[in-house]
Amino acid sequence: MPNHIWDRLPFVARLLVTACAALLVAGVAMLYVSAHRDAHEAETALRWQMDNELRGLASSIADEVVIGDFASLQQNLDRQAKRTGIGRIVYRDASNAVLESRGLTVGAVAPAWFAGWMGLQETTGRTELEIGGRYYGSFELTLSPQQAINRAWKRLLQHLSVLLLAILLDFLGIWLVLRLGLKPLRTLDAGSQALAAGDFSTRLPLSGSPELRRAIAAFNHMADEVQGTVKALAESEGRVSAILKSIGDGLIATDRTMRVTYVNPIAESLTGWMQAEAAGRGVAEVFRIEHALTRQPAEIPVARVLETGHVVGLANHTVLVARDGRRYHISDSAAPIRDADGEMVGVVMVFRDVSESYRLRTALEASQARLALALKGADLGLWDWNVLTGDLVLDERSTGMLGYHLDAIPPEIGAWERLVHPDDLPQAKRALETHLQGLSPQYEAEHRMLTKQGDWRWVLSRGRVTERDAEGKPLRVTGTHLDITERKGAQAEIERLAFFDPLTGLPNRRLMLDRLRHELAAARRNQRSGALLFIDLDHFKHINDARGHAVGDQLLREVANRLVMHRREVDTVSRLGGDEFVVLLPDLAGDINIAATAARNVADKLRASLGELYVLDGGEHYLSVSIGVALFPDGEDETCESLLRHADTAMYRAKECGRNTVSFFEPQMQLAVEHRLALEHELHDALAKKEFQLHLQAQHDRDGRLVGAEVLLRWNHPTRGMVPPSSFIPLAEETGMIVSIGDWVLAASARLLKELETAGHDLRLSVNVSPRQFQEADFVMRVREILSESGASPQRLTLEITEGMLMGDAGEAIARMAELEHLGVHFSIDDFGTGYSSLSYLKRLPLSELKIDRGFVSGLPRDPDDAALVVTILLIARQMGLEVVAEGVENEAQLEYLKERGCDHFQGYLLGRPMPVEEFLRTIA
Amino acid sequence: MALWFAGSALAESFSFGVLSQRSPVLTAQYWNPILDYVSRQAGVTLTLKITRTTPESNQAIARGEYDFVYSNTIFLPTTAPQRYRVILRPRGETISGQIVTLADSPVRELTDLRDKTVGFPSRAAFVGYALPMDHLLRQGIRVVPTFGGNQEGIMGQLKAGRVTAAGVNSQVMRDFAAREGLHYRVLWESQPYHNLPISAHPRVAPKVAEAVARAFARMRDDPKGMKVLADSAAIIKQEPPYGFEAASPAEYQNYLDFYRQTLVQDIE
Repeated sequence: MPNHIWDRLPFVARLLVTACAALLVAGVAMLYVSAHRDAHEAETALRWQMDNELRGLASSIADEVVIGDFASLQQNLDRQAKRTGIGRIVYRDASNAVLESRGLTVGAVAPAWFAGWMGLQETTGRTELEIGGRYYGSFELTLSPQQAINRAWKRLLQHLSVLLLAILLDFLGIWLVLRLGLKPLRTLDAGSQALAAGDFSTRLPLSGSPELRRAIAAFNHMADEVQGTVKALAESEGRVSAILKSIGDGLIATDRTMRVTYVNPIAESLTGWMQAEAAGRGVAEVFRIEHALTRQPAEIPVARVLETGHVVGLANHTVLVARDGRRYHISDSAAPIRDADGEMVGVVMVFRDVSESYRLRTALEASQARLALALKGADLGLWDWNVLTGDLVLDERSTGMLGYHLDAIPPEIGAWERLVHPDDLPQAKRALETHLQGLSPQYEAEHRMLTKQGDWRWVLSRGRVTERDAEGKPLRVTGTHLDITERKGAQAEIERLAFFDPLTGLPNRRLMLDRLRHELAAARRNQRSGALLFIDLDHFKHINDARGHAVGDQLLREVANRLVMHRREVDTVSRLGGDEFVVLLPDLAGDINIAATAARNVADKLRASLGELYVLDGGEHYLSVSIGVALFPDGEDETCESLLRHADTAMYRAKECGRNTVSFFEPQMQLAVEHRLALEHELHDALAKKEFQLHLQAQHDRDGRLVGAEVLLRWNHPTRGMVPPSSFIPLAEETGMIVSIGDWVLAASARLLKELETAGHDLRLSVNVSPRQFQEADFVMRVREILSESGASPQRLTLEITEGMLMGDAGEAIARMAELEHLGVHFSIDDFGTGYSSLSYLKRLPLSELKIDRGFVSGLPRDPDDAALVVTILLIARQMGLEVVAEGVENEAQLEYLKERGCDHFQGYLLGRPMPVEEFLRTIA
Repeated sequence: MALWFAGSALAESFSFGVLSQRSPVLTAQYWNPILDYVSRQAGVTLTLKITRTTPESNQAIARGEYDFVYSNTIFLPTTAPQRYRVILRPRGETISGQIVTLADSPVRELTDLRDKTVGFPSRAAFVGYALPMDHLLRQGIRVVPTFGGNQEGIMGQLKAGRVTAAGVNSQVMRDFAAREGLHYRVLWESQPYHNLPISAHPRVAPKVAEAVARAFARMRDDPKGMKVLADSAAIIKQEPPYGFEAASPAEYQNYLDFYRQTLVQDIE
């Protein structure tokens, strides 16, 4: 086949032609070999047949020949001649008589060329018959090859048919396989061309034979890689370009011959050369620099980098001279650009305009010189404190104002603080802290400092944070010291004159009002109640008139002394003028009723003290006072003046009531005070009169099973009826009666527990323990005794304590709890979430249970704050391995909400109201 | 001249018929070497003539087709008229007819064969049929005859138990029994008869007949002749003594006598 035809043939045709030609050649060869073998075998068969026939013929006709029965012989020969392949039999006897017999004629099926090719010829064999030494003639046997030729021809035709069929099937098979198989190949071809044309998103579906599928998968993978690489490259280029364009520094890149290859926008604006113009120019032309001071051309660092291969910085005082002649102070560095093999291919210079900072630095240096001069003039000492290290740098004037040499005080803040007067140090530190926290614009404190001579000098210290870190945290504080000792002395004298009563030395009205204002605000802020006692001496005028002003003044001073003697640290005793004194009692109690009682007590005490004998100028005198009490805070409108007026009013009411008495400003308040006093008396008797009762409120678990109850105390008052705990517990707590009441409750609960155990109830009782009770020295012993006496199982007793109880001596509280826990008693934190317990602290406690305050439960599930709090408490409890009791569960929604979030036990009206013990026992019986 | 005569006599050919006792090829293998030897010695050409069956042989004899004949059927009433003249008789013992049965047969006496099936070679067999049957007829013992075709054929049937007893040639029987390991009991035996004689037709010149007789008779004295006889005997496993000796017709008178008196009517 000529080459150009072959070149034009598609792959399929080439394959078909080649495969068919191969099959044809192989088939023809096979046919040739097969036919050749057939011919050979036919020839062999003919020879073999000839031998056999001759031998057989001799024996089969011997009898006839010997007898000379030619008729039988002829018949016999005819019979023999009919055998396959025999063409002719000729018998010649001894006398040469001839008998001949011809075989069946077989027609030629094979073409002459085939017969000729086979080369089979008619074969003639001859044998002579000799019996007993006598010659009986000869036989001539001719065998025809025609049947063998025909047989071989038929076989050839059969083989040829099979060969043609094989070629046909082969053709068909190859065509089918290629037709199906080349489809993905064509797709692959198209995909490759698309990829080559730049369509990187080209992906091909997997099809065809496993090899093709692998090839397609490899193509897709390659396309992924190419696309990814191209994308990454584009992104990288974009990023680099964006970075180069957006960095705030000027950037010039050069090649190895110091020709500019790139100028970024900042560099363009600084040099005045645009990228397009600058590219290809020598860097010295574009980047002209000179020394700021000498104005001599400076060395461009590019050459140095090319020479050394290292990063090179620019000398200070370098000025870049722009194309238009403008000058910029710059800082600069240059670095080599290396290719992937590390070969240096150019240099990049990065520089920035530092004109402003250069100017500032110069200005700062000048300013510092001026400041030093000024400070010296102002007699100010300087200090500089490193907040992180605590280093404190002082100047000579700072140390000198205390009489120390500069290096006599160690340069650290601690050494300085040790010189500050201990009374002044906290305030100074507060002020410093306030400033550090950013709450004040500057630090300012006046404090005394110990001089080398051992006396104190007042110093005004001022300062300001001068350096902060990235998060705004102060790093450095710088300030001044000024000796204000002289000024302080003058100021103190002025103050004394302005705020103190010259006669008694007590704060005057002004100072008192100032302090009252302060305390009133504090009381409102802290929700603590205080009282203002207005004291008026009864009939002072008589003494004054009778004994003279000197004695009167003496009496007033003695009164002042007695008032001061009884005051607390925080109280203020003041003289308003004449015989009027005012005592300010701040921070008496959180509860205004308790504060009232406390105020009453103080007033009574003062009244008693002031009522004692005075010995004045050799004479004995008795004095009574009327005291008016006003409690504060009492409403938002209240002012110091109004409060003072109220106290004054109350005092007059006391006077009206017959003097030598105490009167509260509010009549109702007075009533309440009376009421409380009565209650206190009755409370004293309540235990003895067995007026207290225990009530129980059931606690259920998640499955609604009753697991225990909280013991609640009720006071069944003979006239007032059932008194709620909130009405008498605070009073009992305050008066200390809570200890004996708590003791009774604990004992009664223990007995009840034993009773329940005996009745076979597996229930726990939770008993509230008051702080006073818990703090009693013998509390642990007492609980031990009670449990022992009752025989109740400690494991069923849970003592409920409040967070507040643990805020005092933590170690002691934990020790007590641990001791009782060792007995088996459980502890529960009541009203959890209302206090301020730290979790790490709670963790140390031997607790087994938390009680969620009813205040949080009531908001469930609507109030998001309450819900969050409850969920948090449950999480905390789970983390700490504590059980949780929810109090005040009043509806199903609350119960479900708590259950869903893993609360263990529930208590509240939904599950059972508090009920007397007897009733409770009936319900569970 | 004698030589010449002899030579001319050599050119003369004589047929030598042989009674069909065996297959034609076996017969030819046996006789052709002997006839070749005798022909050379006697200066004539003896050509072997065989028929397929004994009756055919007898018919040929009766027609006088053979110049010489080796047969004992020349004494039959049908063949006797050709007046073949005995010139030679085989050496060795005489033959006799026997009625035999198997050694373990219950048959003890000929009378035991009454109405039994008794086998015979053929109706042409002299010692095998004519003699025993003649005796049975004379004894008045009627049997049911059956024919085996030739001697060994009926002996085979006897061995197979298809016949109770058989009429046989005593010599052939002995040879057969020896070869086949067969034990048999002789119920009856005839008087001895010489075995098959060689006879010449009256048309054969007396000199030729004499020359042939002499050649046959001297064969056993010539080592070559003796070898030919031994080789041929080996073909049919014939026991010695081999060869022929001169005989006179008187020695075969008992044949003629038998055929004249026999009660057997269907001898062929």
